[in-house]
Amino acid sequence: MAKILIVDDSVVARMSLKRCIPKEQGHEIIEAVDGCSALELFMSASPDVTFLDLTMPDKSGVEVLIELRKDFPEAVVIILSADIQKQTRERVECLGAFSIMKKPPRPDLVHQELARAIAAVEDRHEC
Amino acid sequence: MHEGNQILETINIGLVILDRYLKVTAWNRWMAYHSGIAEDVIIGRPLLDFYPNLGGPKYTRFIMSVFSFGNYAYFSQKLHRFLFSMNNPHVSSDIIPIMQQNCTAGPIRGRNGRIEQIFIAVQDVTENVINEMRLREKVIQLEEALAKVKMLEGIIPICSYCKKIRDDKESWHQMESYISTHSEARFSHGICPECYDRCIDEMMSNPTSPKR
Amino acid sequence: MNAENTFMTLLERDALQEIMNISFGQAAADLSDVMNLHITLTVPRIDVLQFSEVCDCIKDDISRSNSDISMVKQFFSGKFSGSSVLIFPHGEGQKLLRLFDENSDQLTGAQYDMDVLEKEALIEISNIIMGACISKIADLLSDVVSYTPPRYYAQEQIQRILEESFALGNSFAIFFKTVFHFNDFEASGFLFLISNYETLEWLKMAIEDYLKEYA
Repeated sequence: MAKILIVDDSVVARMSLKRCIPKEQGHEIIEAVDGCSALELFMSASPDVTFLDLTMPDKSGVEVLIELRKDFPEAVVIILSADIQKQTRERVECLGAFSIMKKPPRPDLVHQELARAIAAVEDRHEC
Repeated sequence: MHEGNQILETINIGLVILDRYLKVTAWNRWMAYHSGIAEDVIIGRPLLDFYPNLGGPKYTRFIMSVFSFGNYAYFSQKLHRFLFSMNNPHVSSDIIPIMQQNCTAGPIRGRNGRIEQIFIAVQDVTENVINEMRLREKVIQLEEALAKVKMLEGIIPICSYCKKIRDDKESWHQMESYISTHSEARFSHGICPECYDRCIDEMMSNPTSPKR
Repeated sequence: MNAENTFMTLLERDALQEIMNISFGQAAADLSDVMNLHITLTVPRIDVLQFSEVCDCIKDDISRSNSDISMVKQFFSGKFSGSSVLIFPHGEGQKLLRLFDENSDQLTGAQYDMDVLEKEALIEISNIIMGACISKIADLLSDVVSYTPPRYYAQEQIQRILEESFALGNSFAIFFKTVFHFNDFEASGFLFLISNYETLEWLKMAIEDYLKEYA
């Protein structure tokens, strides 16, 4: 069971992703509608895994990723974006994203990535 | 022959069909004639085997956008000159040796709605290009000629007494001198009947003055 | 400013925004493959507007940029149908000509005006961008569309053409300002779609299906 933060300005996008997260695993899900509230929530709630949209008004996903990784180097961040060009992928991986997934999210791929991310978090706690 | 094939074979436009692997699945008579590549030689073969330059970025953009997006793509002569390198079949070939082409590409969908092939239509616009060139040359010639033509226009400051004319540098000139400088007109000097009568009267009244 | 309460509910509008974001992201990725460049297409916010509001939007942004504008327009038809319109401030076409640099000195025996080349570049690139965006929206909504050839309009024709596009009186526009970034230079323009109430009804149904499938 993990605490999952979803950051996306679109309510439909957040709904799409929540639908893909397996309910039977009992994960706790918290949501942020923009970059600023995402950073505040991260500090107060310490989620295990964060799903982050790239295209947001005001603070973009990239800016949020940079700040998160600066203040919380252990943060496990999965980028969700429709734009998955090679250059975009390389950039976010360089900035420390755990992985990048294509929108709209598919349940099987979300299960897979989430499992990988949770395993990575557990490994770090053990170290 | 099926009507579609009749059109393919007789239309005065090149028509090529490519599959997703850019292999040629149709090559009409116009293409065969102007390229020198027979239909039975190219059908089923990759287009790039015969036109390797078509692997370049601007060609890829043209062709792949149709496969990706299903819209029509345009490859204009003004930007690109031609798509398929072919000899100019017109008498203007000494001026422009390569046929100039406007090309269009569009999707061909299978039953499932998926784009399985694209067509490319090739239009010879060499004569139009020549005509435009000639027109441009004529316009340049006319503009040069017009620059040489001098014209008098507007309001000309003239002395009410002696009829001298003031130019734009504030100098006063004899009328003949001003008009000759500012137009193509020239003067031939004579005498009008009134002045003639006046001169004769003066001569008659003063016989010792020099004759004019 | 917009009539979203008349045209769409908040949830429908949010779904449309997300559909546009996804479509544009996929379009950028595909355009990047097709054009062999890194491309960003941003969709900051969309509005569903009536004609007068579209003109106001354009005037606000254009008067800030202080230049003439050019327009490329294309019809698309499927269940989702209407016109797509791309408006560029004057001079953006010249930036796009950099994508055709290899040709600028090779026009045999003829020197075309920059205006002519800029127009051709605008048409060619607009066609690809509009095709990319519309096709991705159509894909997401399980539709197939076909297109008419794009047409270029200079500044003085634009008002009349836009009025004609909205002439039926039951028209609305989905309006967004898209900024394109190509590699390391930025060319920007406005993209909007003009459609009619019949299509709007279909669009709402398609959005509902999308919500059922993905949300």
